Amino acid sequence: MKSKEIKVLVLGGNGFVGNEIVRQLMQMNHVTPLIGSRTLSDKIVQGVAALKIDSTNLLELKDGLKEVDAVINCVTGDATTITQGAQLICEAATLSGMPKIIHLSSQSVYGAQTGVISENTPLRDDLGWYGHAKIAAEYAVEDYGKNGGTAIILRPGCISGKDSPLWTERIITWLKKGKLGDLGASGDGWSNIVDVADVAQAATKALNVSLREGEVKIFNLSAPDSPRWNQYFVDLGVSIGATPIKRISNRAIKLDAYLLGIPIKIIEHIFKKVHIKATWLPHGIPPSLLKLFRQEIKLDSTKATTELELMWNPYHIMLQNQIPASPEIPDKIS
Amino acid sequence: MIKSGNSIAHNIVIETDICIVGAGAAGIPMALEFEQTITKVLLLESGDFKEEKETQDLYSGSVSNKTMHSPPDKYRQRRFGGSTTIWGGRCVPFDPIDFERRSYIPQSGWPINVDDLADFYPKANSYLEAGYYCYDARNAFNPVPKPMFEGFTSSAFSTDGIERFSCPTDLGKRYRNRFAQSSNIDLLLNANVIAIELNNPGTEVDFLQVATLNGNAFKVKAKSYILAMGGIETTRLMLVSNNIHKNGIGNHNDILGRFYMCHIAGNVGRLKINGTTSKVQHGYEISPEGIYCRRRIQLTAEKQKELGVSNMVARLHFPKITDPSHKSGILSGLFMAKNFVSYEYGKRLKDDEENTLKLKAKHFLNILTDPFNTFKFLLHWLTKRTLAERKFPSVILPNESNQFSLEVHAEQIPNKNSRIYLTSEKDALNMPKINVDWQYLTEDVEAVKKTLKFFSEEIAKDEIGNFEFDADNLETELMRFGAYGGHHIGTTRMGDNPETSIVNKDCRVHGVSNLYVASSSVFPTSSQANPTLTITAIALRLAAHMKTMK
Ligand SMILES: Cc1cc2nc3c(=O)[nH]c(=O)nc-3n(C[C@H](O)[C@H](O)[C@H](O)COP(=O)(O)OP(=O)(O)OC[C@H]3O[C@@H](n4cnc5c(N)ncnc54)[C@H](O)[C@@H]3O)c2cc1C
Repeated sequence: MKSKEIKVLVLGGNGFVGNEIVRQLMQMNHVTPLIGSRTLSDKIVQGVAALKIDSTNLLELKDGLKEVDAVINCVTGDATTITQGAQLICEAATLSGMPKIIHLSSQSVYGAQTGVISENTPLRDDLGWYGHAKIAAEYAVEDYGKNGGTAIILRPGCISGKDSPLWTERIITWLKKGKLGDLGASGDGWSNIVDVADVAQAATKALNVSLREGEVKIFNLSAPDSPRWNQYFVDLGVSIGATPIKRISNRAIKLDAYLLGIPIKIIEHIFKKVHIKATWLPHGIPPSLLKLFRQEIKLDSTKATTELELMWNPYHIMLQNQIPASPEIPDKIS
Repeated sequence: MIKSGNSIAHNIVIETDICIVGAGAAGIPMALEFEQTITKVLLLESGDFKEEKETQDLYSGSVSNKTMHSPPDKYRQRRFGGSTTIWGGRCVPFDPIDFERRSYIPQSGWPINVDDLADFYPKANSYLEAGYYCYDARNAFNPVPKPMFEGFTSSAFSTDGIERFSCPTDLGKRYRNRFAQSSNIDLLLNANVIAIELNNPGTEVDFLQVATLNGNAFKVKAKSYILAMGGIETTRLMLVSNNIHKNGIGNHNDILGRFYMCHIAGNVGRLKINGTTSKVQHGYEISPEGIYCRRRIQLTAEKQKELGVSNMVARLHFPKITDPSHKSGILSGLFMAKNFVSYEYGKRLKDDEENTLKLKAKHFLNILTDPFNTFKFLLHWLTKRTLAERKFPSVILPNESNQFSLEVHAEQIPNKNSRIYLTSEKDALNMPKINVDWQYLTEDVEAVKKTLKFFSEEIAKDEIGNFEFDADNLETELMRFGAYGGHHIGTTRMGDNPETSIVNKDCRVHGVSNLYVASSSVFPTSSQANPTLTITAIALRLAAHMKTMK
């Protein structure tokens, strides 16, 4: 174990994943974490220095990267933030002594492919703007490697955790409203759910991975025991007491997504244009999610288990980690 | 990948690692267990996605006694999904005692026990979409519900055992997408296996002969073969394949096709519980995962041994539908509708009583005079059954009188004379048809009688009510509709001894190194439970076994 003190900048350190990474870095005794965030809100982890950095601003980035040994990029946002952000981070890093970059990518770079997906599987750009942006961001990191930098790309599946807006909070809302439940064949795809604690663990362990000059390593992150979506919905629903779980027919869920979801999105868009927040609108399940819930894609995380020596949270712990208030997990969940 | 047997080049030999024949409750989950492995699996299925008359006709045959058993093309479906395309979805595991050798039941005892299935029952439950694997009312619900009968203290009868209901899931529809997306599992539709060809000493399967109804034919050569064509058809194919083993495959001692069992069933007696209706939990309870569950009355294993009786359960049932004096608009509605229900579901609604105009008029009157209940019932039926994907399992009437009959579902004692065998008639693919000669024993009825008598005593002892039944007429009641349909058990029974059984404890045919059976035909005894959960569990156990083989 290295004893030298290292300084790690967590970009997006104010967000859901970044927060957890910062918290875990604080536990490491040879690491000084530093938060970089576009907004410095009260969510910032106490006792950690924070810098206001917009990752689409090269000057702010260059400033922040000064004397930093590694930078962890968990910034998210629109396509520009994702792609341009990654490009500028790499550029700033090149200008600041080539620190190690740990870049949080996503399962979406594999597109609509099915089957068991290892890190060697070619990327596929067929999932719309998000997948496209995430692929472009990875290319920027690959280029950083070609220029002599070192980097680790993490490709998590769906990240869960109490504050996970996408894979915990909104799923819970839908479960409570009876919009989600057991979807039958429509929820038969693999969830590739991964606990945010495990993603953070991977990011912190990535700091210790020694890389040759110009080397870029890639790791899939999905809990080896992550279930299919239906199982996840049922278990989570039971855990939070949104019971009895409803069986939702393909007909009903499609109706929700296409007939209600799309007009709501349009209304939302119009209100946004005239600067009115439409938070009162019901949130339908977007059609793209329906495709994901059926997708027979299984991320193979063997490499993370062996090379990063990741100790995955077992599924029932992952579930427990998501429950807002009173944790009551039935012991029958296997 | 999914293909049709008609698209395969004529007369070619398809090679694969594992060939599974039949895509029903056994074949589908078993094949899917090889997802994301490097094993090449070929699943051969006779039918298509929909029912087709010509294919269904391949199931036709005869029965020795039409009042005792349905014709063989009823109560099973020859198409992708198998009989799960029409099943009722009732899931119950076998009890530990079912696997034991019981001195009072000849030919009882399995070479495996309930623990050998422990890893596979939960998985089977999940494939069949019956929720968490928990069959005890005290743990299955939140909050813990009231007991079935308030004040019933008998330690000899359990009322906490439950049955869980699948959607009922048509496994074909439910898992079709997985086959379509798989790269190592191929599903071949319209592919009928018409013969199993053994090598000359008869120790190994050489290949399978496959034919389509359009006249195509080809062979399949695999390292291992698994027959999962249902309890009757598996046996038929083994009987037909008699080139090397002259009496059918593995049939050196006249066991194949014998010991055919279904279940003994009927509505019996009158149970009256004293006091208010809130003292009885008679309907469905819904588990947190949204599964319809129902309690059953069952004699404990210890007491079964003490009384020397076979296994059975009873559920609370409503009075006889046909008798209009029940005054229930709902029941009369059912009576009137029975002619619109499929053969399988209409059968037990009918009665031998004459369907006179006067009778019909009385039922019609019931509907007219009970409009509120009838309407409420119809609305519930429409929303919770017709339109719902997870269907309310059966008609449950509001309990207005605390009076019930008992719906009995009982084990049948193995009987060598109850059998299926080939006849000289042939089907469209030139395969000999079968005849079903289902028989029961007086002991089967006697066991039910003893158990019910004892139940009657226990109810009286607690002074919570009384149970009366006509013991002399019990046989008639239980045999009114003959064998319970759709449960085809015992004709390739499992055992350690090749002289008295067809397959060993790994479901492999004795003396044939690469031929396996995954079906209720391997069950040596029939239990009180409906068979499908155990069929799937046994099939999953076999899949796990195949994975350990090199
Ligand atoms: C009306 C009804 C209600 C039922 N209700 C219940 C219930 O509530 N609970 C319960 O436990 N069970 C119930 N059952 C029984 C249940 O359906 C069966 O136990 C179960 O489907 C058997 O599974 P299997 O895979 O062995 O056979 P099947 O599901 O019948 O599948 C056999 C498959 O093999 C195929 N096949 C046959 N011959 C060939 C051939 N030569 N070549 C290629 N393929 C072939 C068939 O097309 C079929 O797809 C019910 C059955 C019926 C009919």
